[in-house]
Amino acid sequence: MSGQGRAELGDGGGPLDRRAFMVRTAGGLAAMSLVPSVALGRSAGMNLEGVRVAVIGAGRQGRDILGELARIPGASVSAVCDVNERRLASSLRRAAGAKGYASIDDLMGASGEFDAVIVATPTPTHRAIGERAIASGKHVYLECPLAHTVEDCAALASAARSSGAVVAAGLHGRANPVYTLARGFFLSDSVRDTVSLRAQNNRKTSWQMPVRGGDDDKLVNWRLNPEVSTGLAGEWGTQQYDVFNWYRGSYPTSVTGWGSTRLHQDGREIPDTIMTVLEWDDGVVLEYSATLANSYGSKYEVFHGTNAAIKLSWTHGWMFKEADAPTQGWEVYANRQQFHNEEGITLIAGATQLAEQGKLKEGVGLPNSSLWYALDDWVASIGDGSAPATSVDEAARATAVGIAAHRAVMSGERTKIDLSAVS
Amino acid sequence: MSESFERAACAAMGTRFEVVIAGCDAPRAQWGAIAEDTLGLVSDWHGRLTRFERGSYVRWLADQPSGEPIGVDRDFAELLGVCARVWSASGGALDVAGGRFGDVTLDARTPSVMIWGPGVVLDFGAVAKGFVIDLVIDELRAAGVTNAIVHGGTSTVRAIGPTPDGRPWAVRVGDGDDAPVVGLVDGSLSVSRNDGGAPVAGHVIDPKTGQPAAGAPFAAVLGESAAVCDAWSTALIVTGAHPGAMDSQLTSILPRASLGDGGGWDIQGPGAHAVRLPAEVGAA
Repeated sequence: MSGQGRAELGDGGGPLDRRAFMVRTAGGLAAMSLVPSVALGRSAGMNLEGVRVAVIGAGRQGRDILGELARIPGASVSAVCDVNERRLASSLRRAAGAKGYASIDDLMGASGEFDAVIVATPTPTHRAIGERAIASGKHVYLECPLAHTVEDCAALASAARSSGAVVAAGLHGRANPVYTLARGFFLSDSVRDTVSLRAQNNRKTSWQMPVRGGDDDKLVNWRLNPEVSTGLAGEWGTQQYDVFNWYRGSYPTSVTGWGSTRLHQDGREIPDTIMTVLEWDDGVVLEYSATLANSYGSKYEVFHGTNAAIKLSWTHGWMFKEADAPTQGWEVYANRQQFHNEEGITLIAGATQLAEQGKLKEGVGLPNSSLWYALDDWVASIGDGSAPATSVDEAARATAVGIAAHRAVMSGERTKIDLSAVS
Repeated sequence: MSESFERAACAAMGTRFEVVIAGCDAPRAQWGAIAEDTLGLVSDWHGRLTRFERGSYVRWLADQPSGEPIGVDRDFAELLGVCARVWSASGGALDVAGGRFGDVTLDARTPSVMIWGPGVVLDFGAVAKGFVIDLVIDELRAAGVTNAIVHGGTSTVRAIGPTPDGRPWAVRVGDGDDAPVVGLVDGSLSVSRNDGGAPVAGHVIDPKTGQPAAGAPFAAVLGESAAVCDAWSTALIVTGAHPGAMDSQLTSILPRASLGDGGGWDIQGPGAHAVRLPAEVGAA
């Protein structure tokens, strides 16, 4: 038996007859009281006067962030900063009313215009920009992976600890209501002892960005620059590895990796296809693969337990119970989906409210992206002073795991995961 | 040896988008990255406009309080502006609010939108592909692309320049080798077909009646903006007639009767030029 912690499911509500209890429990919210409303998020009920946000970095991630901020109550984008004139102009169309800044110096010179800063620049620049943002005393959200070296991760974690403001990191699983719900099951007898772990991220894309006149290819295509890239394991794996770190409450201690270029034969040194195997001290193994050459199956994580398996795909989650697993009663009311020969119980965040309204099926799939929940959580923490879902310390450790996995891929050797510098 | 053109594609909006770059000021090695980068816009807007995903922007808009101004971004306001213009000029034949576009108020200056009354869900299915193609074309031009063609599901297509040898891009309209061919140079073509049995019972709905549109079985529209062409090609299925207040951006509207000669057309206009091509030029 693993040393994994357990939390018993209890009622947590007022007196209910058995049927009402079971209907409320269907979908899995029984005792875990997730969020007041999955659709509205944490910040909705706070009557915030408006957190004025500056977004640094207007690439694809910055564009996504601007889109999500537009739908978060209590947040408004007052400034966007990017060194690239075209990207800046394009992002300002997405953020009506915001002012544009072509450099960090210009932005920081107008610090009265914003209360909070989001750092969505290329990973290797996170430390320099993040430290400056934190030193300004503003609330800061740092995208993950946190940095491209463990040293930079440790420096950012240290700076965040010294800040009196809310400094959060973007490990998206930790603020995701379905992931929070599923974690409750994972920590209960519903899944029981961990057998094995599996995850993947498959997309068909090149990672090549166009280099426009005067731009430095190494800076534009930093993901393919072996001097600073953390590869698929770091750039994508960090987010997914962290789901397992968070659920298990511990970190893997070694990783073995393989990598090769299966499609993009353009002289790149960073593999477009990888496999990593991460090992925990208790013998549990996570098998993770990622590729830029095929999109089948997209992105998901699977936990195999002795009583059930849980599959998570960021907006959806399912539990697949073993035939000999004890039933808890609510399963008969649960929404189910068929996957070839398997039948999954849909994990529905906010199921209690939906069940009471007879709208359980409408709750399948989250109404917002994981990024939205992470940003909303940060805004809410600014509003009420609570700790954000992801601290920079946690992000530093998660990123260090991703960096170690990338090193294992590049070396082909079993690599020790040393978190001493970020613990 | 690399091919003389670069092709990239993605699945979005229930169909397949494709970018073909055949000429560009940037080095040949950059073309693939340019094509892929611009397709990121398609995925982005798919996520914003889909009615079928709970997290989309249009689903979020539908949940906002009735009659209160909702700040929107300038691109979205521009999209709504196209819809408003065609809605007005077509007498409501194009209605992205399912017959309730009159309950949608756009303030393009702020920009903001007000939606009056519950249950109004915007459905941009008749214009989204064209709108995104216009955005992609803008990005391609900014990247130095001089010769390219972009289509969304083959029903809406827009070209940058002619082909590298100076000929118009040849777009076959319809099935079969004898189907007519339209030549595009710096212009858009959008076609709509109201699939169904006789007399007409297709998938295009007349927003005024809620019933399948009965105006025309087929419409093809040429113009500069793919969004405008896309919107009008659907509106014409409903109206079945050349609208009196035809959008000034359109060069020409081709009713089905014009497509019968199998050889193409001589059409000249400020925004687009479709020239007569021999049938053997083939489909793009």
